[in-house]
Amino acid sequence: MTAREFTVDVHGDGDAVVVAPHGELDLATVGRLRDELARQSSAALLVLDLRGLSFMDSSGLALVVAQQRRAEAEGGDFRVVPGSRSVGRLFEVTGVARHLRWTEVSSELRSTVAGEPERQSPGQEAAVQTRQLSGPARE
Amino acid sequence: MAEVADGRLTLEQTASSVCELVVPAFADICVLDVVHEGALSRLVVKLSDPDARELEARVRLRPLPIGEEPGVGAAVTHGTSQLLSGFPEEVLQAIARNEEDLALLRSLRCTSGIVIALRARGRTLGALTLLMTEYSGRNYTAGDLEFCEVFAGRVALALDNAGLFVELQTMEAQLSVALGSLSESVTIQNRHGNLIYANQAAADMMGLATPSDVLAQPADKLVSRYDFFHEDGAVLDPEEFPGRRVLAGGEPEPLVMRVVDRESGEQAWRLAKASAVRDSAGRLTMVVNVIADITAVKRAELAQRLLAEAGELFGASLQLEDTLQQVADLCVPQLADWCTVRVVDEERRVLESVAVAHTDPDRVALVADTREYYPVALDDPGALAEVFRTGKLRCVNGITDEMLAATARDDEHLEVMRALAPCATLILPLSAQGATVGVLTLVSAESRRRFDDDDTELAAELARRAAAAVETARLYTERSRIASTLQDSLLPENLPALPGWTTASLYLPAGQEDRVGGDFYEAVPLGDDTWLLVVGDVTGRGTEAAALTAFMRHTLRAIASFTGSATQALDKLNRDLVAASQISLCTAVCVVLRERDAGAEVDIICAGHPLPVLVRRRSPEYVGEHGPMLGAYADERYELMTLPIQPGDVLVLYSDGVLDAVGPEDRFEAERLQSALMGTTGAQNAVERVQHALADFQLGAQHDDIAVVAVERVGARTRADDARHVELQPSNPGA
Repeated sequence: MTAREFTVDVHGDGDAVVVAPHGELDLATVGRLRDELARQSSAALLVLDLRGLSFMDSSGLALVVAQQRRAEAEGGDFRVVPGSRSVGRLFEVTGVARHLRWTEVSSELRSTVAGEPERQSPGQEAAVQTRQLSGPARE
Repeated sequence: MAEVADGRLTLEQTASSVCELVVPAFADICVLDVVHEGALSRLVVKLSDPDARELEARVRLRPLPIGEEPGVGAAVTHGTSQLLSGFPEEVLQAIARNEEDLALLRSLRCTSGIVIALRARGRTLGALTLLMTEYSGRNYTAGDLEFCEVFAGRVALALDNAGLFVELQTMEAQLSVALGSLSESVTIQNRHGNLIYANQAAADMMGLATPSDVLAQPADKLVSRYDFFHEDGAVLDPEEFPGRRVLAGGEPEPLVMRVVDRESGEQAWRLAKASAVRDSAGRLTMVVNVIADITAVKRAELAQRLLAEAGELFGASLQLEDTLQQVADLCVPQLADWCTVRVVDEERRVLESVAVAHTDPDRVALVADTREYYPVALDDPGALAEVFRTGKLRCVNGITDEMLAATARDDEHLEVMRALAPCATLILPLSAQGATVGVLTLVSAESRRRFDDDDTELAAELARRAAAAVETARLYTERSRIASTLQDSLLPENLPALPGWTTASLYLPAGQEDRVGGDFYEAVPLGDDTWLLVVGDVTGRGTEAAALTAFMRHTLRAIASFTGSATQALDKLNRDLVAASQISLCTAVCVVLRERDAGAEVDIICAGHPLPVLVRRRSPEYVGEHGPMLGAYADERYELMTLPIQPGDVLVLYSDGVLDAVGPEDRFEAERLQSALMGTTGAQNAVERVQHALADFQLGAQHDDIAVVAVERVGARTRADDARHVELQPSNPGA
């Protein structure tokens, strides 16, 4: 059996969380990511960072779609940081890309800001800085 | 003198004894000098005059003669004896070293003396000086000289023996140190077989404190504490020990043996060698036994071999029960006297016994026919179920009758257990990928060994691999069922003959590791020489995927053939899937093959699916446009793209298993597919090209199902031509 080096990093606290999987996301590993996302279900802002993925197939896609549905149903904010070109292509080809909120993470997550990410309380350290992107393509 | 000469005394003691003998009986002064490491050293001086202690001391310290000087010097150098009848001034002056020495010699007031070289075994050992002084007033005669020469011979022998004895002692001490520091056990037996020497390692090996303890043990006791076995497991008779064979006159080879301590059950591996020591006549005088403990090495070797054999077994067969039986057989007798394997059933309610092995074939029946073998419920309070539930192994060394009584289900069970007489057990969970699928039980009975940490580690490793094999075999069974279901009912074995078109297809289910995704392909008649070809791909696990696939096929077929529209079918399918309670995502590529007066055309709709390839005049290009996948979002619109098709064109549809195939460094991807199809000459050729390209590229097990459908435009069949039979190539099923 091949060793699958798949890990999931989590940064942040209960209100704003970045979940970053690393490695290949497929049928064998998707369960672990699913479990981690489920653990973070109470976060007001959940960011899924795909930059660490070397591969993603339809099982990962299904998970993203499911996560988004859950967020919509519960009123949470779910965003996705685009990964590699091939990962992005899967979102494009399947038409899922335009339904997701794509974003960039530009600094370490510090405190919660739900709602408009650009608004910061004065004196507070930078929260998740996000920038709306037009699509999942990443150069 | 004979007593003195027997050699047990040291040199000094011997020399002193000689002087005691001689003074005052035969001399007033006796001096013994010996040659030691090339120089003379004064060993002893004795004066008969009890008041002359100071003088004695000074004579002892007197500088010793060198070379040819009269007296001791001459005696030692030439090995001669000399009688000095008097000591006139000139003799004294010749002997004396300096003024002080001369004064000392004068004060001795010697009247006569004898100096004799002490010689033994051809060497001069030293010199004996006997002097008479005015104290006694006696003088030596020539007869005295003769006597002294004989006497001196004996003295020399005595000193020689004493010297040898010292040498021997030194040598013995050195040997002792050398042997003592060895980690191998060294014992020496005399020719009657009695132990006359043992080093510390020997004591350690036998669990005794010191070598003396070893020598003190009666010979039988040393052996009866243990059971001995050959490497192959056959009982080893102590008569076969190399030491005993040497005593019997043989020249045995080194012997590897397994030793089990009867009391503690501990076992060890030893390598024993023995050699004979013979005297100059060739008779056996001693047997030297060297025994090395090779437990660590041997265990590692056996463990590796066991795991390798297990690995082969697991690789060789996917028949679960056969494999587990062979695993149980492997464990016996190396790891245990008997072994059972239980696996949880599909409903996860009980642990069923699937394999049993015992060193004694008769006892296999005993174990198998009794309650010992019955299924164990998962909530059973006993150890087996507990190990299964907790996933933690249990080891019990030292099983008592009370324990048996406590776990026996009834009297009959207890009787059987008593007959089997287990004394230690190791119960291990069979766990793979975090899930426990069964329990492996090892029991030690007749061999009375206990399970130590190394055994546990080895057994745990074996259990891990066995568990992985169980999972794999289960998967295989499940997938075989699904695959055959898919093949039988969900996948048409042959695509129907499509007039005007030739088709070819390929379906490769995923390899051992993964669950089945659900790829399918379908040909739906839409009426009037119009066909809908679909290749679809469903995400998810085996049976769920199969169910979803069935739903997709049914819906597409029903709606498409009713409405004549593939887009309507996809719309409906999408809405139904979005509304489903569980996420049900699929992709599909639909190709509608249509006859027109001017020729043929195809409508292409991709619903989240990789674009098909059109090979025209042997040159492949991707065609179609990406559209949304099915089951993700409602309100999606499916657009079709229409292309004219010429005779000879080949359209290739495939699932993403092709693009996702894993190679040495990356995935197959679209470019490789396009390259593979360059030069395609027909539908069958297209499918073969893809198959070969994948076979060359793929590394390791295939992760996802692969489906490929190729359709080639042959020629039109118009109503006018109905009567004419057009030779159609039959469609080819997947390889």
